[in-house]
Amino acid sequence: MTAITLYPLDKTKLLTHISFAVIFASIIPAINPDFPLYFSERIRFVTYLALAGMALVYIHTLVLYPILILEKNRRKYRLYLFGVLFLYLLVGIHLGLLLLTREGQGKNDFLLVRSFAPLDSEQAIWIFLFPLFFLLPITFLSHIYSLLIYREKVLLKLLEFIGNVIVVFLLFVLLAIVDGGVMFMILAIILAVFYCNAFYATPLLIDEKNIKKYLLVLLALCSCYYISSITYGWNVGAVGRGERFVAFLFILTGVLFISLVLSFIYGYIRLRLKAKEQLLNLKIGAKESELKLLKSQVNPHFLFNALNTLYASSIQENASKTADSITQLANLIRYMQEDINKDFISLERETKYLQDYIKIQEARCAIPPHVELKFEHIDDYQISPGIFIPFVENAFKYGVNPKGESELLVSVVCQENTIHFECSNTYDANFEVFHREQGFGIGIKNVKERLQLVYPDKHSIDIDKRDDMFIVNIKINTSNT
Amino acid sequence: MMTAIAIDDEPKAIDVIRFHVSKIPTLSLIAHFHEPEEAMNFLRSNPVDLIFLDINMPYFSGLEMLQQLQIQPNVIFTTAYSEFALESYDYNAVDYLLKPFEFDRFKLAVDKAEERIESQRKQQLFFFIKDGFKNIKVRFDDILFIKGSGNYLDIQTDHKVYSPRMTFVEMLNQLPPSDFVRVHQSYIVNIHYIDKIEDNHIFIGSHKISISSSYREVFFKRLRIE
Repeated sequence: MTAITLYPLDKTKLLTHISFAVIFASIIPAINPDFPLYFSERIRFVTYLALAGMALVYIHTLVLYPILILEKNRRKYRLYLFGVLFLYLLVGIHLGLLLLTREGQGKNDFLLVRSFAPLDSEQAIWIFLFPLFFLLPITFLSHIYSLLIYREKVLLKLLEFIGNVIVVFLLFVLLAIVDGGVMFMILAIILAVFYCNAFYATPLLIDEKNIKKYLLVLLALCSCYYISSITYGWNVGAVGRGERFVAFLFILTGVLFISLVLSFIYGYIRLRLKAKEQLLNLKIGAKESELKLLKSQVNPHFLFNALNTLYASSIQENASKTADSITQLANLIRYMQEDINKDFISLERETKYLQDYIKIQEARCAIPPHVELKFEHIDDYQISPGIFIPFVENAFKYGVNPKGESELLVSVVCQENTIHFECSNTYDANFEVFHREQGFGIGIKNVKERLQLVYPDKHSIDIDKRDDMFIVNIKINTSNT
Repeated sequence: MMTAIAIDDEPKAIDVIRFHVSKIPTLSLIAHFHEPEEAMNFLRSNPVDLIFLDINMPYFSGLEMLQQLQIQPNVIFTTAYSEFALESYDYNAVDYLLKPFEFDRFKLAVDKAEERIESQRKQQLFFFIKDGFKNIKVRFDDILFIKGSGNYLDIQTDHKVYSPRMTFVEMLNQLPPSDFVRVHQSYIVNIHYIDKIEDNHIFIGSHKISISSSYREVFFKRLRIE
């Protein structure tokens, strides 16, 4: 539930997860000893560990990480994480024990072992260290996976970092294969120049437009590069005299040129992307402040204080009906501004709003409808706000004829953890709309969705049109909510 | 009988409270203020049972005022801001009224206050005073009046005068505000023993106590004498 609110599933996401699950499930028969494909017991041990690790990745992403983001409860998250990791370690050690004690004893399913043979110290260390070693990539992977799902921005930086690490690693491997590692130092120097230019020098030129400083830094970089590579080359004996020295310098300069150009392009692209993101953030910020401004224009506190002043004037003028209407209106506005956004409010308040709404609507009718209200045993009950109001609203919209006789019955009765709401009103077959405005605008379709979301399998809704009556029955079971 | 004051920067808001209070015979609003500072000065010499307090006022919020008061009074918050409701519990508030509030809701809050004040009163029927090396118990309803003289007080009961070393303000904060009222720079009287009031003088048995002009208005309001 918590993970789903953070990460709403659509079809493609669901398909990806299901295919992942199918792949994992297919590994399990593949490592079964009876299956045609035979794996050695060590490989099966590792596969089991990896499977448990994948389970851990999923548990972390779907259960633990939401605790961190939604509940912001770092302690709970850590506690659970350590619990799960510890469990994983136990499983790994157990699997290792099973494997080692049976290795080379003929029967080739180590999971069937029931008794352990004594271990020597080397084996014991291996058993403990192996799952522990496995934990590193798994925690890393699960963190990246969680970031991938919940926080895309952080991920981009991480991906850039990992990409750089991989490229640098590959370069070193390539060099090791080509010349056996003699030139490692030179590569390191070139990389230093590359990153200095990309991260430090290029922003000087593009962002700050400080050409003098840029050239100075570039000059310093180049001289450092030449001095250190020539000294190093001399020491390893890669640099000779005369023509060989010129050739070395030539290669050095070529490499420098390429690395400077590439790093400039890299730095430039980075800066552009960053500027774009900043612009986007600015736009979002502007939209947000616009929204805030809009909200402050209808500052509720101003409104309530103003209504209070009106209330005072009306009681001073002995206009008690006006005074009552003002408090009812204030209650309704407060309801729309505050309570409607809460998860649950007390049923008593909800019914109070129903009453206030009915009274205000009644006051607007030339011939008020005959209204019957029944609220019984509603203390101690909570309800998701806004479920009943649309029906009463509709009753006034379609059912209550302001110029003729009409009837409205609203009842909320609670019994044994069940809230029973009934709203019935006279109903004109000609379907004339008397009050056209939107009002709360929640709508019956939304009410149904809300009921399904908040009280799944715990409610019934029954809408009945018979003769000249429109009857709505809602029953909500509130146990365990 | 309970005494109350109201604090709100908006006069109309005070009007609403005055109107509601006028419909409750057991409650009398002895003063109202537009600024918390004035109210604090008033409270220093006139303890009351109940305070109706607005939270959001221009210079000095109601919550700040409560922090600065040395006593913890019974408070009913009256405000347009619902977001202080949780914080108000820290101040042991009796209730939290959201403006505009109708009489029924107001009455509910006052009933709650009455219940609390009643139980506070039951807990506190007497106090002890130091007289030399002895601690002497004095019942509040035995006290006729109290006269301050320097660092000493004269507590006059039916048959005896106690003279503990105590300041006037210390004494004032211990007395139940519903029974005692200050009438003079150095006099507090128990309203139940007042026999008659004549020409700025109170008569309690054979004692004659003068009412000073600065306390006169509150005193008469308190006794509901126009």
